[in-house]
Amino acid sequence: MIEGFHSPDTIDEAIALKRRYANRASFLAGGTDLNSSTFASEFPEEVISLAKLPLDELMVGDDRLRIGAGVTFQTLIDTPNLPEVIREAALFITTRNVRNMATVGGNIASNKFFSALIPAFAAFDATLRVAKLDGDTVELPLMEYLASTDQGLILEVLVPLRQRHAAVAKSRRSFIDIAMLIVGVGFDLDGDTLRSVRVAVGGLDAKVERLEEVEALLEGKTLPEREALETEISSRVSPEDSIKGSAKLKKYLTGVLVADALTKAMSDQGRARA
Amino acid sequence: MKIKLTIDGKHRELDVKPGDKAQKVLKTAGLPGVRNGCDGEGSCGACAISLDGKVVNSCLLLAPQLDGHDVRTVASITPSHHEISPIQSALVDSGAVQCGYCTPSMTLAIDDLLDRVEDPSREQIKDAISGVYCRCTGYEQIIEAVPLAKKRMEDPDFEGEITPIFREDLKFIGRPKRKVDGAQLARGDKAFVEDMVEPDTCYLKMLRSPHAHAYIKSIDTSAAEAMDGVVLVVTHKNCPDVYYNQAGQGFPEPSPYDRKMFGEKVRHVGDRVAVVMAETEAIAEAALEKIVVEYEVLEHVLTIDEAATPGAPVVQQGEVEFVVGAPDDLDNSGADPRDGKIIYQFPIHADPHRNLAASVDGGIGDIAKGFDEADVIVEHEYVSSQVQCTPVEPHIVYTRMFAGRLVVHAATQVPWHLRRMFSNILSIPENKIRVIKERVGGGFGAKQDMVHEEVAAFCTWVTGRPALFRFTREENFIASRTRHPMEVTVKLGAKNDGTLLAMEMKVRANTGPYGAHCLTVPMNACSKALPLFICDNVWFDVQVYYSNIPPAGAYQGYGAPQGSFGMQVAAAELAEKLGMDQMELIEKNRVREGSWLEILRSLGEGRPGKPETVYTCGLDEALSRGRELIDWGTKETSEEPDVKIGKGVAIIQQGSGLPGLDTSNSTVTMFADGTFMLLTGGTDLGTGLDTVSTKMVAEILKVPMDAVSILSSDTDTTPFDVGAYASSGTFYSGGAALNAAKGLRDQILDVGAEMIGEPKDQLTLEFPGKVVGRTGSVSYLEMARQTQSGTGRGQLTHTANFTGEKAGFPYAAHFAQVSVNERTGQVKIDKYYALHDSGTPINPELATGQMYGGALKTIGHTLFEEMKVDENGVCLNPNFLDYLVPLVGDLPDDFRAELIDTDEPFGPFGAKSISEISCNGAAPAIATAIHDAVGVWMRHWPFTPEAVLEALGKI
Repeated sequence: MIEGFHSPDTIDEAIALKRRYANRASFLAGGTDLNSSTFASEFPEEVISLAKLPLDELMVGDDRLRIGAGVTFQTLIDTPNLPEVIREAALFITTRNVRNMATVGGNIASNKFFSALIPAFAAFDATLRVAKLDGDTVELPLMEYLASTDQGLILEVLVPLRQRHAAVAKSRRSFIDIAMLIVGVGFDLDGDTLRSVRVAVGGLDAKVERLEEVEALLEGKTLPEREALETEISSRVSPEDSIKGSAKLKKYLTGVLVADALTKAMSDQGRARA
Repeated sequence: MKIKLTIDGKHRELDVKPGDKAQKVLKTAGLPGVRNGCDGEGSCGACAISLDGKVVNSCLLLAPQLDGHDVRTVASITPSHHEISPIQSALVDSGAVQCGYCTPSMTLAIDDLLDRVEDPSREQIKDAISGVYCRCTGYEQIIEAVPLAKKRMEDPDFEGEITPIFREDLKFIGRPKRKVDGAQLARGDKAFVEDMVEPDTCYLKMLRSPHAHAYIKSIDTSAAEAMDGVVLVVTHKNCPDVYYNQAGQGFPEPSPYDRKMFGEKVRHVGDRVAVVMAETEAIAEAALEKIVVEYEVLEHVLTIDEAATPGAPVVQQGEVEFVVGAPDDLDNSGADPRDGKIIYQFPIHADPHRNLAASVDGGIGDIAKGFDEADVIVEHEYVSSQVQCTPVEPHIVYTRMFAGRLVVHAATQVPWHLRRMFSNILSIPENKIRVIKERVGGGFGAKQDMVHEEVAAFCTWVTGRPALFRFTREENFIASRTRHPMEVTVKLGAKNDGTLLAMEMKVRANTGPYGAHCLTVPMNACSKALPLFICDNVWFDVQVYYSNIPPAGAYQGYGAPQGSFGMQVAAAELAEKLGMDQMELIEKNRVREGSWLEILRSLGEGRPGKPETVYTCGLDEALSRGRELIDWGTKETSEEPDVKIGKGVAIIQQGSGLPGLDTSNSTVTMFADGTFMLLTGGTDLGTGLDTVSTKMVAEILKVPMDAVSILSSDTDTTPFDVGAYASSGTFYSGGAALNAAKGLRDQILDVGAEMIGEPKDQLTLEFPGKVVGRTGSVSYLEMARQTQSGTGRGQLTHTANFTGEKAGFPYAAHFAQVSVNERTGQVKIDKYYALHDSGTPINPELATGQMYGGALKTIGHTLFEEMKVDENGVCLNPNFLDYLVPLVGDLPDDFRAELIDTDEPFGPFGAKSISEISCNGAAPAIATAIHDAVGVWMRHWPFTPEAVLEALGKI
């Protein structure tokens, strides 16, 4: 049960509050996860609102796109000249009311299988700038941050601006369905050879995961035919049954979705940024 | 803590707790339009507000997040309490406001859209309303309302063409006219039960069974009762010792009396164990935790096969009694007293100790001979899963005492059945009970039953304290009503030329733990499927089983969707086997005007049926219009190699009320200024019945609709009506209003004759509100003053009844074009056309909305909606996000609903019903379209990607 609501004016104050209340407190961004009766696993005793913090800047730098953690999904969609893949991923939250609330940082920090932006940012090898509880500000690869236990506060997402082939895909049963599977793939292309391959999938388990075996399979190779790829990928995943779909279906569809996304990323449509 | 904010332009300071949800705080702060449909899941958008200019869900916000911000609700768009804005008027006039529970949110979303985009496209409109769930309208008319709103913002007098006019000779009937409760609903005024609750009200919370099947060995409520603020705890030990059924059906009901308010046995996960009445919601919830229950857990049965297996656990093992018709060999030796009793008003061929809740069979001709003579026979089983009605407003009731009487504010389809059942259960006479039906935020059959109302009524009657009982969304799934899961086996025999020689339907249905509608819903699967084809040899066999799944009951369509799915797909499969076009087979065998429906002789609801002639049938035009719209016979191809396109069709029917069972009454009274009051028992669930009834009176008495006020469904002040079910509203309740108006017209002519001094047969009524003769005229104002003076004959008033022996069958054809992705199994509806003959559509725009709404609802059932129950009987998806309800993003790309004009001789102004029939076409039309696309027959709904991939052999 929530007993305290804090609205710090600075990042330092927010970090100090989190240090003080530790696990009893949660940072609150848009609230679409933390305040939801379905998604919130448990309610914190103290809430630290991020509303007053300067986290909503979105900037295209020389070599990196910087997306403030407080930027909403709808802002991602409405901002011109962002990579189409990020826009598509933001549209994975299908309802506008929720997109007006949900933030980039909140979506990553909640770290659910349906966290729509994680596969997309993973495809770009994005990093996060994070204020740690010990007072340091550090930059971490996205997946490293998600795997860590001392997570701190996400300040911004940094997306490298270089030639990258990327695509996202989602499988859902209906419009309201959060997702059965979400997929993000990205690679650099050296002639016909794939380099720095990233394949991230949400829906196989509780959180988004990288399919490192699949990445290794593709690294330094040309992209195989779609059907062969599909079978290879399916054989390398072991999803669990869930209310969203059976293990059998997810295993099959992971192959289809990842193969389709890789094929799309290879096409002109998948060239994300010059 | 205190928060400061602006609400609709006014500075406000509110006291809130850190964890308070913004929705609840705003609602409590006097903003009725900020509603709640999903209990904080953030999925329905009924709670939408504009926060600093962005539309958001207030149920996903903590109240302190509003501090320092600008909040706008629908009130900011409403010009005054007498007026509505162009957006609101466009929504109402387009037919986009039915129950109206979502309308304030839709209004906000459209207002935001028109602020952002000058001339929005269809896709931009869909995006704007993407977060608001509407179960009634099918969204299409909400989309259509946006350009109309835009035009009205520029020109307030712009009316626009909403629908065709169906009766040029009439002023109101058959023309779109503003829904009489439309403005109230669009403004977000107080209208629903939740808006009537007074501050001193107690809250009810139910302790529910964690087991699918168990005896309560002991229950200790002492700790709960000892808590401060707990007013009453009710269990099987202190509830009334009265057996009843919760089905809202005419007395004597065919549904067995197989439960008390609380039983010593629980029969499904979520079954009632105890209710706590407390002064706050938090205390009630805390008290539930203090109740200690010891269960003797029993083996359970979930499926029809499990329930029908000899020796299976028995769900209803009580002592069997009959009010009439007890068999001579009644054997209660296997009864367990802890199961209580099962009392049948009359036999329904049940064998509860074998889990058989009801059965019936019958037919015409010689079925064996028919199949013997057939050149081709097909036989397949068609299975439907359990789906929930999911109105946005959950079950809610508010009870209070007034002047020593029990007053019940209910969101119900059946106020008079409620009063009768309360009287029985509480053992108090009906004159001590008043039931007021408030505006209802969607019912769709779930609110045809007394799902929780009697518990609140009992608590208030016992304690004298007001009580609010509002179901959570989870309770709405596990303890409300659902469509009966059915297994429908259809066997058809035909000659090589396609002529049907024999039709057989075997229906096995799962009623769950109690027998609400257990005979009539499954039987209706046959009643509304068999008469669509004319065949001399027909047989049906219906068997219904008790089980331990969440309760089944009435749901719009009432068994017909399951029956239509089986019969129409079987006919398509027969056509394929014969090498015939599906439509050719339909044309060869279908019902037509003048058809004699002999089969109805055996299809009475627990009583002998009556064969009938079909007086009007618009299938000729519906089929030819659909054929043209969808370009039947032309094979479409997709640019995407994985996608195959197919087309399908289904013909469907329903009834217009229950002849010989239903009855409605209305009273029309002239006021002192010549205006009128219509009191009607007709129960408007948002369908527009109040508007139908008002139109009847205005049309007959030749006055503007605004000169007729209506009060409906208050058991104290309006006359009796059986309620809103069986698609009876327009035919019966509308018919009663028409008859009352005609009776009053007669009196008006009598008085006119006296006042003008001419014979009555020389007089006519003329608009607006006068009697005209050859020598003079008299206005209703003059007439009212005369009749209500000391020398007059008294206030003019007339009460009339409507009953009937004719069913007024509405007919329709639904066409679908689908794209099936063979790699992903995804089925996309490209085109969906619903062509309906509902006689004269009294409110064409609202009738159209019901067609869209019913079609989209059942597209949802067909493609993705499904309650999933695990092996322990636990529902795994009792929320919108996991159950999946259709949003605007699920709309077919091209979605059309059109009315076919017929003139039914027995309906008021030629009307037949709408509503339920709209639910019967989606499953068969889509199933046959999928077959046309990829060659597989989908015989089990929903047709999920997984099911399609399995059928295609991909997984």
